[in-house]
This record gives sequence, C-alpha cells and structure tokens, in this order.
Amino acid sequence: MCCPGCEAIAGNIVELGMESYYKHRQITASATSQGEIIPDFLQQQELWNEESIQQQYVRKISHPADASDGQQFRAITLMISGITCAACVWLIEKQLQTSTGISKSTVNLSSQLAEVEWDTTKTSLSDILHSIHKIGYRAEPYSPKKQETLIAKENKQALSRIAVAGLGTMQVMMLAGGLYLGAFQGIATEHAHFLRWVSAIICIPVYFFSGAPFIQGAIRNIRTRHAGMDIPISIAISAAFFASIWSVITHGQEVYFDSVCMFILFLSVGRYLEMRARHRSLISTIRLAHSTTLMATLIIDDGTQKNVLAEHLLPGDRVLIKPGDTIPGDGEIIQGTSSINESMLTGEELPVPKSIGSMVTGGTVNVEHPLTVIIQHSNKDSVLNALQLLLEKAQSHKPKITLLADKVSRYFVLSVLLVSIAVYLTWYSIEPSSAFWITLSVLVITCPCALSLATPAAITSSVSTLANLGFLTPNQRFSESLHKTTDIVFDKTGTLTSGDFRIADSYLYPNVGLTYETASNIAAQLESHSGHPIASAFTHLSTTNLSPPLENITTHNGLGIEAQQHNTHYFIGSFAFVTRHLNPKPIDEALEGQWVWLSSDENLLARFKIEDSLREDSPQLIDFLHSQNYQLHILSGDNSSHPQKIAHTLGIDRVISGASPSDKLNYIQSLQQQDKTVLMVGDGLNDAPVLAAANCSISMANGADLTKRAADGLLLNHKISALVDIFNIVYKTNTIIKQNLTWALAYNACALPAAALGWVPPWLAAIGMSTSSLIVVLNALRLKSSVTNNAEQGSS
Amino acid sequence: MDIIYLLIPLALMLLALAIAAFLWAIRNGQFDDLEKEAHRILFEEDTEPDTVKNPPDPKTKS
Repeated sequence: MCCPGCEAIAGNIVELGMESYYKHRQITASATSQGEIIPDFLQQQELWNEESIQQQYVRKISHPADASDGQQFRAITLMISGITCAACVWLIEKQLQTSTGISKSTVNLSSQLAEVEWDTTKTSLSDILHSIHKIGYRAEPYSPKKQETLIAKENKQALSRIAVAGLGTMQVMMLAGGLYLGAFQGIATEHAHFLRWVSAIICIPVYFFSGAPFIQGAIRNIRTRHAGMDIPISIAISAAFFASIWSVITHGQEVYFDSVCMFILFLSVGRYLEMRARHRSLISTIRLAHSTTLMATLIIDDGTQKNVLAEHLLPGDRVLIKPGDTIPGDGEIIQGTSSINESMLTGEELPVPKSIGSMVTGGTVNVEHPLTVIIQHSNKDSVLNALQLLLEKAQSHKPKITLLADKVSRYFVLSVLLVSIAVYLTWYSIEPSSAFWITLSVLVITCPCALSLATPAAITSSVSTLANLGFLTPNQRFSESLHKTTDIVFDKTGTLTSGDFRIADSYLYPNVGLTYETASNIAAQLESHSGHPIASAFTHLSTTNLSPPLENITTHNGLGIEAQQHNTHYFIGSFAFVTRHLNPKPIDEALEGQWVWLSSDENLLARFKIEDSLREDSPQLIDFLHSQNYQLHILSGDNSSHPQKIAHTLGIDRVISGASPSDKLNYIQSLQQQDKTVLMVGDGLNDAPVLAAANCSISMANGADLTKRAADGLLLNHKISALVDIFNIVYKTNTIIKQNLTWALAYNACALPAAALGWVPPWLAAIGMSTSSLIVVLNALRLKSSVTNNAEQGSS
Repeated sequence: MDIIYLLIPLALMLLALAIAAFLWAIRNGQFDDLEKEAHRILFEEDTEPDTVKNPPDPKTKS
C-alpha cells in the first residue's frame, strides 16, 4: 500500500465499484507506517468548524441562481498530503463529488491543492476534511502565501513570453525559408521586400515582449557593474534586430529576424526550465513550513491539553512544546530546560541551550526536552516573520556549480565583448562592409547559451526525476557533496531498521507494590513526553489518567526520562540510567535483546522488551554502497547488542553503539578532521545536530519535523533501497553537467575563431548556437529517460 | 506569385488568433496542472452519483 489512504480504502474502492483505480495508477505501492498520524489529526478536525478559525481560510461565495433557497456557499483551498499519482486525484475528486452538499471540487496534482465549494446548510468543513481523511489523505485548510501567488504569476508570464516567441519564430522561420530559397533561385525584389517587412512586423512583439527580460537583465547588470550573461545576449539580439529593421527600411542586404526570434525562443525556454526547478523546491519549502507551524498544544487552567491553531494563541496562553515541535509564538519559558534550534534566525544549525526565564522565538524548533512557554506576543506576526526568513534563506541558496558557472561566464562574457570589439575594428580596417555581420556572427555564435543551460537543464531533470522517486532536495547541497563523499554514517533505528517498535515482552519485579497495569501506565505516560522512536512502542499500551499527574518531567537525551508524582520519582530508560541512584545497585542481568527499565526512588519496578526488525531492503542498499567503495558506519544510541548484530548481518564493521548525541557529533567531526566527507543518513530526533554537522545528510521523512528541516535530502517513500536509484541519478547528473560544460566550452572554443575569421555567416551562427543548446538540453533529458527505465525495472 | 500579398496577411491574422488563444489558455489556468489532465482521459467518466453508488453488474462490463 503506497499511502495511508490506499490501506484504508482498498475495500472501499471495490465496494463503490471503482476498481478501475487499480488499472490506472502509475506507482506501485510500497509499505508504510504512517497510520499513527490519523487519530491525532482527527482530534483537530472539529476545530475547523469554529467560525473564528474559518475566517482566515474560507471565502463566502454567492450563487445568484441558488440564493433563493437560503443556501450559503463557501469555498476553501485545501492542502492535501499523500497524493502520489493521478489516480489519487481522481479518487479524491470522486469521493468529494459523491458527498452531499459539495457543489464543486477540483484537485491539482502538481500543486497538491484542492479547491472545494460547499453548501453550509448541508455539510460542514470538518465533514469534508473527514471524508477526504476516510479515504486516507490528509487535508488541511490552506491560504496561499504571498510568495506562491507571485510564483504563479511569474510562471504564467514566462509561458506567455514563450508562446509569443514560439509562434512568432515558426512564422519568421517560414518566411526566412522563402528568402533563403529566393537568394539561390531568384526572387522578385518586391516580393523579397514584402517578406522582409512581414518578418519585421512579426519580430517586433517577439523582441519587445519575449525579449524584455533579457534587456531588463542587461540594464540591471550594467547598473550594478556586473558582467552577466544578459549583456552579450542583449547586445546580440538588439544589434541583430535594429540592424535588420534598418536594413528593411533602407533596402539593405541582410536581415536576421529569424536568428533574433530563434535566439529569444531558445533562451526563454531555458530560463523557464530553470525557473520551474527553482519554484518547485521553493514551494515545497513553503509547504513544509506551513504544515509545521499550524498547531499548538494549549494548556488550560485545569491542566488538560487542547490542540489549537498557533495563529489563535493570545498573549498569556501557556503552551506545551514537545521535543521536535516548532515553537508556536514568541514567549518566555516557565517550565523545563531544553535547547532550541534557531537556525532559521541565525543560520547556526547547532541548538542553543535555554532554561526557565529564557525567551524563545516563534518558528524556531525545540530539540531536547518538553517545555512550557507563556506566550507574550500575538504570535501570528512572529511565525510569519520566521517563515519569511526561512524562505529567503532557501531562495538565496545557489548551488556551488551554478556559482562556478556564473563566475566562469562572467569572465567569458567580458572576453567575448572584448573579442567582438577587436574583431569589428580589425575587419573595419580590412573590409568595412563585412565588419558588421562578422561581429554579429561572433556575438551570436559565442552566446553562452549552451553554457548557461548546461547546469540548469541537468539539475531540472534530476530534481524532477528524484521527486518522482519520492526524494526531495530542498537545496542543491546534496547532489554537490555526494560525489566527494567517502564515508556514510547510518543511524540504526528507523533507518536501517523499520523503526516500528513493539513491546515484545515485559516483566514486573516482585514485591514492588504495584500492579502490572499501573506500572505500564506510568511507563506509557513517561514515554509520551519523548520524541524518541522507542517511545512509540508505548503508544500501543492503553493508558488512563494518573492522579495526581506526573510533574517535573525531564528528558535525558539518549538515557531516559524522569518525572515526579507526589514524593516519588519515576525513571524510565536504559539500565544504567534508572539504577544510578539505587543503593545497593542491582546487577545488570545482561539480557538478550533491547530492554527499557522502569524504576522508582527505591527499586526497579518493571522492564519492557522492545523489538525492532531490520528493513527488508537494507541489505540491498548496503551491498550497493559497498560496491561503490564507501566506508560505512553505524551510530546508534541503542546500548544493547542489537546494533552489533545488525552490523554483522549487513557486513558493516564500524559500529558505535550506546552513543549519546554529543558522541555522535564528535564521531562525525573526528571523521571530518581526517579529511573525510561524511554523508549522514538518519531518522530519529537525536540526529538533528548530527545531520547538520555532516557534510550532507538524508533523512527518512517520517521522522520528527526537526530532522526534515536540517537534512539536505528527504526520502518520502519509506523504501531505503530507493537510495540506490537516487545515488545513481546523482552520479549521472554530475556526469551530465560535466559533459555539458565540456561540450559548451569546446563548441565555443572552436566556433569563436571560425566566426572571427569571417567563415560563418550569421544564419549559420544562429543554427550552430541553437544546435549546441539543443544538444545540451537533450543530453540532460537523457538522464530522465534512462533513469526512469532503471527505476521501473527496479521496482517491478 | 502575387497571391502572397493575400495569403501572408491571412497567415498573420491566424498567427494573431493563435497567440490570442494561447494567452487566453494561459490566463484561464489551462497550464496550471499538466500532469493530471494527461491521465484524466483514462478514467471512466461517471458523473452521476447514482452510478457510483450502485455499480453496474460487473459481468456486463468489460
């Protein structure tokens, strides 16, 4: 089953007679363990019926035709997670259409947004959310951020420019064909003039509308005294355009309208592709930020907890922030000590320690222990502010290879301009009549078009291919660092193993004055404050509220949790942790497997055996990585013999078990000091600083929110063997970028002297330029098709 | 060859129409989702809710 939905609905589909879903779906299902999100989320759905909360997202609309019935129509944009292919979209639309009271629903596959209109007298928003939920997708009300609106606008504008340039080019090329044929076979002068005039008319909108971004870019470049690629491009298209217009008016020899149009078309398409790749990663960043800042846990006076929208917190509210949660607003810590990742404000990935009385900022992330915070500012502004900063950071990040290409092309541009001037002056002294067209040829043929397309074309096709495999790269750091990587460090839990913990066995110590139920209840309550994957095993235990409730809950990272009830302290965690205050010290029985221990002030109470199995596809990945000569390591916080066993099965010889987060960090740093480049693959909460410290990192995206932010790559499809394909794609991308750059530079190196010597007429120059760009783009697309074939073979 | 004085202006008008149609399509959001529409044709169109709730006899369907 590919998504939580599929699991819940397979029966539903057949029941409703919609079996054709299985015929049309594009992606074969894979196993997941997302089921746990659902109950938690269900609690929050009722909130959406409150008028005040709806205000921000819901638009009232009126249908004049239906108004008489007293119906009230509302519309909303929903962000839907879990969509993997067109069949999902079809299913959601079907589900909405068959529900009563919904008048219109469309789902957009690319943006994963749905537009829904409904009749408030017949259904409610939470029913709609619930009905989407029933078939297994997660829907959240969504108000498009300003940036997204801008992106949509920019996208439409770029498409319009391509449309005008494309259609114009077709016409001008046709007319140019007539003119070239005429030049060989003879053409009446007035016919030739007519064709030229028509070409000029078509070329005017292409130059002024489609070519505008290049001219504006060049003007900006000149103002900032920066030799960008827009300058030679603009000089070439402007010179060719105005010279041709002049030639048409004065009945001159040559017109270059076809070159101008083709030039603008190819460049616009290149820019468009580059822009789309940028937008896609930007939008995923916006969504990520949106979904994590939405909810907050409000503590009401009687101590109960309630989920509310972060935007609706008021100054004075007390909120509980679990490890891994995003802080919902600016405030002061009144209980607990923890460290906070403020990378979004400061760029510093290492968490900053905070204790009672410290101020925290909305949008930053709590790393270690639960905190209670009293909100001080109406936090809507602070969260938005933080979001803005995150976006700017994402936008400003340019891949190193692009920076290199920019740098190279800057010198390239300057030298092209100098060479052109030299060529013009030389030819002017030899043969003034040819000087202009030869210079034009030089400018056209050396246009760094292929050079500027080389990287973006490859990156675009790699980003989209990776996304199809369920791998998101929020920045380009991943593909850059991978080829330098020498060592790969794996976290064990949830990465090499499935991370789906169960309590396999338990034991209650005799004569402790507790029933098993009470002991397991205390254990479950304690573990509910931890974000560690092992804690998830305890969510399967049934719990009742303790009275009085546990207080002073402290998480000791990598060790365990401590809390107080009346005058009794309870400890849960590793053997060493729960027994360190006991006297006499119990003997460690060195049991098989991984155990979690519960103790009080005086004695051990109970122990629970936790089991976690190796992922089925881990060996496949490890074999592949061994064959690629990476040095592999396992770092695990687990201090049992389990990591050793796993490592033995997989054939990994470097294992550190029982490592605390700071041990892990030290380990990575010591590797880096030996001039190794480290890739970290992790999942758990404790990894965040480690992921940030590694040269690049991958996180399994079902991990905590925090790791999602810190990692350079997010694996969404829960199949670790997908990394084999992903690594292959990245290797291939780097090869293709190199090929493209080599080709573009070689082409320019050969073509420039030829053009300068006057061997290349402008029309041939334009064809040469276009062909070289086309080769670069086709080379990049080769990546996409070849890898898709591999992936299909791999998954079938 | 004087026919080109008629045919080329006609072609220009068609070009203008084509551009206008394209721009209309862009503004109208026809290019917003290029993935879904490619697959939509594959799905059976049963817009009436009744037919979904009471599926036709599977034997009569291919």
